[in-house]
Amino acid sequence: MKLRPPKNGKEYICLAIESSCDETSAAVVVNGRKVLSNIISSQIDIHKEYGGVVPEIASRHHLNNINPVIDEALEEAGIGFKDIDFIGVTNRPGLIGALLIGTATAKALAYALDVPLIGVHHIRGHICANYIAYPELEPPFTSLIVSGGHSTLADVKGYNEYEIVGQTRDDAAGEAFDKVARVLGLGYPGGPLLDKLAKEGDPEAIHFKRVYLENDSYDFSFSGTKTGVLNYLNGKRQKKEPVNDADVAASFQAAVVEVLVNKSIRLAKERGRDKIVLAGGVAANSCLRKTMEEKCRENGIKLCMPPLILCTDNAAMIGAAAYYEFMEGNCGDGMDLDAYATAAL
Amino acid sequence: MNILAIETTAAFASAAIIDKDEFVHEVISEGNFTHLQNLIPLVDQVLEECDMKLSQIEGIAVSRGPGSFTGIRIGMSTAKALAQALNVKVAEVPTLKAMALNFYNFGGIVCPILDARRNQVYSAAYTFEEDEQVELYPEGAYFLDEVIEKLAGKGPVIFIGDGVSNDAIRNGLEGAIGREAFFAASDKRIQTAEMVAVLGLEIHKAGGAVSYVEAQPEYLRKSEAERNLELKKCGQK
Repeated sequence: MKLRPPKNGKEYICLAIESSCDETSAAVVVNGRKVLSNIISSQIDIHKEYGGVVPEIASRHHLNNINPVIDEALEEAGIGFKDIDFIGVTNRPGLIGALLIGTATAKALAYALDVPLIGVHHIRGHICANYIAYPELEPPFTSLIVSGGHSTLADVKGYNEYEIVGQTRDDAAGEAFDKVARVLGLGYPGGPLLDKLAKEGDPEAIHFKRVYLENDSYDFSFSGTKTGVLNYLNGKRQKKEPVNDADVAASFQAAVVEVLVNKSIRLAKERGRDKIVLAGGVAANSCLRKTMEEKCRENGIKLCMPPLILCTDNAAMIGAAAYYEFMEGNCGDGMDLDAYATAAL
Repeated sequence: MNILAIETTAAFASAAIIDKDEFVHEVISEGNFTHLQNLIPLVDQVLEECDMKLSQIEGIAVSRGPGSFTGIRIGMSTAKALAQALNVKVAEVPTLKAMALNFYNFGGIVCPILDARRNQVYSAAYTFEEDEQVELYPEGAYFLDEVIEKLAGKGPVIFIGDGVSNDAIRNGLEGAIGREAFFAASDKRIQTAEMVAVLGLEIHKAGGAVSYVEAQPEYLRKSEAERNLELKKCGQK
């Protein structure tokens, strides 16, 4: 199949849709890099009361929000449905009930507008957020993807060629952050609150175990470090000694971040990559950003990390990923496109 | 008025078109709970078989629930997005009311029973009098005993819907209502898009169709997390 020429004769305009967790988002992205709009409707306040994302509630809100969010994205971009060249949508991985709202909506729009539809991997989207933030960025590079559901080290060889080199064997980094935040009574969402508290603490006050696994492994394991925190807190409680929560937060964060950063640097060097690209919600963590910046500078590696708005779940990144799939010959998934709770990168 | 109707609240998805002459054509998916995959291909198929283009569709009708939460949402999000792109309105068709229409000539009470789990059923009951569909009790999530209490001694009742396929429910109804309880044949009891189209056209004609933003599902039940939170809050008071 051949690519259709862009409708305006110059640039490809993508309407992108994302609904994999608790953010309903729609964006208009030109040629994968230029964002005309990126509307994000967050449900954080709704799920706060439950201490985490409730899938059924998330799905119900996506259904209510998605069409107005799309309207807003088109309006802000100053375009109409007739200007869209193709549609990109997150169809994997994520909460299945949430994914299917975006996917069903995208399918119906693509069918009605008679434009190609591209199903996008959510994590590829996070990586591609960097193409928006760094207009000059091109593969190959090393990418560290850290979020509530993922801790992945990938060697990105091309726009659509990813090799997963390491993954978490237990908790994702964000998951470990959330769990420790809960034990410290910080509430939801845990990661950002832990990050905030850690700024007031001493990262060297308590030594929590750094888990590097086998010498040559690029995998991660954070549950041991998390258990270390729980044991420390229990021990203090039993002895009725006071706990400095900020020190605990800072020390735990330092232990997790050290492993993430060191393995990323090692992989970049081993593969001869001169760039490291951060992606995913935990890429917003200030300790990770700062430590990664220092280590990259020491090692002469260029670091890319998207601005906070592109770290969170958003549709613009999906538009970037969809564009590169489209350019490399994926002229559209069939109208039988499905959604998947889990999927390889 | 050409109306495109969608039904995804039960195990099998279906799509139908009712045209200007009120002729209805319907296609039903063979896939069990594969609505997301199958729905647009079904829409495409029904259009093709009616020799119609999507641009000729002047209104959408969607089975808005109750039923499978996920199924409701696939149908509703597809209906909303089609209406958004085509700039047409959506008729939010009550699922139980539409499926009861199939049995308008039964001559007694027509009672849809959907298995709502947790010992409940989604149900309503109707009689048909001179082309009027009269509601005996409103749609709701009921315990089976509540349904029986409403229907016992009221004359013959035909039970329809996937709840009839559940032995415990069927035996319960049969035991209480006895010889006046009838059960729709297994190939006739599941809701399909045909009657969604018929009722949807009525709603459109009566000016009851709404915009794609306003169109709402009817789950008849809060999420489990919301119910638990309410219980917890009640307990604290």
